[in-house]
Amino acid sequence: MYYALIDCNNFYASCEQVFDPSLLNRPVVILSNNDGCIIARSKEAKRLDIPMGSPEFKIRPLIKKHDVVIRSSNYALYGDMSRRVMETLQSCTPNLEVYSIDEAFAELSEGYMDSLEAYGQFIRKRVLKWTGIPVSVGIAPTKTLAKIANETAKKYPSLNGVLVLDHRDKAEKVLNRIPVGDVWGVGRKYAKTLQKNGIQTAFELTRQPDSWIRNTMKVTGLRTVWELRGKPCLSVEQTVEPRKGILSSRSFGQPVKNAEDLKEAVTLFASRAAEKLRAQESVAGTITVTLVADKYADHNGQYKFGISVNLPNSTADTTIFSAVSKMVVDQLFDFSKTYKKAWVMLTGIVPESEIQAELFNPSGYSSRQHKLMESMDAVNARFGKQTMMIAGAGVGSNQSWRMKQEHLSPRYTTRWDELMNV
Amino acid sequence: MLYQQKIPEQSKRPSLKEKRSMETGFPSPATDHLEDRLNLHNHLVQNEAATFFCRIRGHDDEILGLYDGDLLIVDRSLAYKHHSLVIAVIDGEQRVCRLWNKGNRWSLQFGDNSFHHLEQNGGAENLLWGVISHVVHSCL
Repeated sequence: MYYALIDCNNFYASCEQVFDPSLLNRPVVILSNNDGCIIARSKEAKRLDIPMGSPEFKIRPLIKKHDVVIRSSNYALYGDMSRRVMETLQSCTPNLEVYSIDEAFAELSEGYMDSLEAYGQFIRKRVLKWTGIPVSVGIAPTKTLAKIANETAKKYPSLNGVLVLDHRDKAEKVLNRIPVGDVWGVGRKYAKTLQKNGIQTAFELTRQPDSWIRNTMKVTGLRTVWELRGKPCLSVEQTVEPRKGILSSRSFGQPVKNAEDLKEAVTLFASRAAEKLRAQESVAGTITVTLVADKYADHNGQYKFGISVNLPNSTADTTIFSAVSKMVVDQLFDFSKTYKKAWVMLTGIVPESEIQAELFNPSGYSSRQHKLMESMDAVNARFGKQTMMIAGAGVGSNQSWRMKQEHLSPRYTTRWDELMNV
Repeated sequence: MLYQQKIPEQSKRPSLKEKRSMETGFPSPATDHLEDRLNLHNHLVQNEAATFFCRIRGHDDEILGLYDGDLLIVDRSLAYKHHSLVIAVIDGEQRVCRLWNKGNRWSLQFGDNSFHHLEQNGGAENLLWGVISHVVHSCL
């Protein structure tokens, strides 16, 4: 059994290039919400050393000089293209774990094709042909090695986008070039400790005795090292565990038939989920709203309808979650249906302490929002649940929702009036 | 008694037939033969992940049978064949053209009846954006 990590190359920039070929072979940068700072770059922009996270005004001279194309983040487009890529991958492999908007793990078995290399090329070519998105494929006996194989495949164009680490010496050669801090699961904190102990590369890490690793990096660290040695510890399901979502749901007392009631319900679920999220001092990057219609009203039809929204910035802000939930209801609501249940799920959860401070990004989860949320939780804890709530459409959120998007490309795949013209 | 017991059991599982037959008199003789309505989307879109919609703008492609405002269904997963109607990327712009194949030679025919010959190994694949599988033309 082998694992493949399939990762889209410069995903956001690639999405823009699929529909606007004049952007091909040109430096393209994507700005965060409100056109704050750079969150993605095409490979040409990377080559110009345009730094990630820098605010747009700071690199204006560079933009002028090299004729860099600027785009506001078009999440409607990226979300739909991501779904297409994942669906295409599902047609290539039976067991897929969608890991993020642009990465997925797949289980591959040998013998399905002539070689694992051929399998990797098959996947790469199919995704490129079907969706226009270039991907890199790393294949190895463990997920951690697959991740490294993928990054290496991306780095060296001569590999043609696919690297298979199926032999020990092949893996060792690659691990020798990987700084220990770049290993998936090691993290910045452990990297420092390891470097202090004279361990610089991933290969050196694999040569340390188990007992020492367990002492310094705990069991999870040991697992990482075993994975580097080629002993699988993470399966396609297991990695989902720690990223498990927070769910808030309830069946309705009365079947619900109008959009306003549904919105009220999902707003409530969203605020509850956000409360749970804040209780564990975390932020979430994705919110999924699902509506369940009466299963028996239409026997053959679909009765569960859900949309996942990837938030531009991870947050624990109730106002944002409620606003997004309402938007989703607007999209999903079908007046011919009666709804029996709904749920709101938050995923992509990371500890609040881990989110990168986007200093220049006003839409990030700021300390002011954080204080507001804290006081809201305090009031609710003292006077009972839902004493203090987000009013209707979220009075405070309206303003923040209207983003600054001066360089926005059309939503080519999700709007009739914004289709690609030929 | 037996009759009464049967009724609630039936109403637990409302079927297509019951939902549609509102009449209180004779049941429609067609109820046993009801089938799903034809779904145009399923007909036009065979491969959801690879299918994109585009719009014809302007009058440059009328020779190819495409008119301003026509909706193109482009299935990128389809193989390029002789006489395929395709979208090609020429000078950073998407254009509709007819693909011609003669022996080893492949060429593109544009709406103005001009031709562009594809190099044998000049990355012709990169030039082609997708195969148009259907055209939806509004008559209004």
